[in-house]
Amino acid sequence: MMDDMRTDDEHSEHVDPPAALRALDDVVAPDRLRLAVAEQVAEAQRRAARARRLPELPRLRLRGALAAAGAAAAVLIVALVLALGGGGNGGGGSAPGVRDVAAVALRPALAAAPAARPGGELLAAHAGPIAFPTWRRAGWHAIGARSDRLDGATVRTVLYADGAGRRIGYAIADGALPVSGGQLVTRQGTPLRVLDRGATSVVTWRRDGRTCVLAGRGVPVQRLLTLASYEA
Amino acid sequence: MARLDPQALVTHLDRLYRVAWALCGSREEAEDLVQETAARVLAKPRRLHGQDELAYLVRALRNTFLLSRRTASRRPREVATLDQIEPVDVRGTGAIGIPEAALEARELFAAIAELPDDFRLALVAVDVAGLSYQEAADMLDTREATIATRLFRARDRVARALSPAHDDAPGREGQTASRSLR
Repeated sequence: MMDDMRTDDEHSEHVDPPAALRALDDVVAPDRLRLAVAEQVAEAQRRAARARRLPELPRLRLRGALAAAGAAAAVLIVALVLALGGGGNGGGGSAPGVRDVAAVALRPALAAAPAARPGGELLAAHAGPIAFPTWRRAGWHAIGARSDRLDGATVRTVLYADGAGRRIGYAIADGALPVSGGQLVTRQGTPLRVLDRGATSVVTWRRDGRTCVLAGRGVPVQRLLTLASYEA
Repeated sequence: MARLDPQALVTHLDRLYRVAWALCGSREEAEDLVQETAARVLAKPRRLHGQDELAYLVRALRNTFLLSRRTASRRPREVATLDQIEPVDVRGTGAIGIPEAALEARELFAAIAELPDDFRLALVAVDVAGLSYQEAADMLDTREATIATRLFRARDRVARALSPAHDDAPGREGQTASRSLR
């Protein structure tokens, strides 16, 4: 409605942006975002390459619900064979691995931060028997949470920030997920595994039959190890 | 039909980041929005349907923004337990970081984010994303002339918001300020 009540000036179409707005062109994406998106793209390309390596299914010749069911069964069989035979670590097989969980842990929050329980050490959020910590005394605070399903495994994540605005994600996945590579470190008698992927640091350990993954971008791995040692 | 090259996300990242910041008004939310958009776009192969790559990505980013805003408006403010969150079926990567930007840019983005939706989307599409009037009109399902009108008014409002004197002359609908912006 307002759009139809134009002045003469407003009819002067295709005007160049004002100088003040052109100044926005100097704003560039921060390096962290650049790295993150580059990793997202690389992961998508790896997925696509894996999919291309799978045998072609005869779905084009089949029709109807029966055909769809057959194709789905074939996909399941192939996925099962790869999972059992490949022992994937999240980078080479179809089963989710620790690296996949770490990637999910660094994604944006989908829900508000869980409240702290009385006592201030634990949050009112848990994955099975494991309650998420507040890590308040270590200088971190919860800023959000998310829950994902990664190839059938539920992954619950709480995101934290410190005073400098750095963010980490603590994700707990159902089951003992495969992991390989990295460096084995012992803290207070507990084995932790450190995986470094460029700017991303990941520390993982097992607890109560689950896989715990602490991931941060631009956060020193020693800080992650300190936090992990409280938890493992 | 041409497919979207995933690398387009990297190529146009700066522009997408600026668009996201202008939509959200917050650089932190802008980072989240860009990553969420990337995750959606990369979830499956995308066909361009004759669109330019940038136009496609800006449209995807705008749709993700509108969707997240609707979701946020439905979400309760207090979420006590993770059990209450329905798991999202995802398989992708992402990250969170802190960008650097000048204070004036922040003010400018904040002023844009305060615009009414129609004006903001027109200004973001043309002045921030760099789309043509026609591409902006296609994206917003409207006419080119409407884009021109909305753009004029959006620029005027931003100019008034940034003008030191804008609080003193509320009755003068941006005449002097819009000149200063140009």
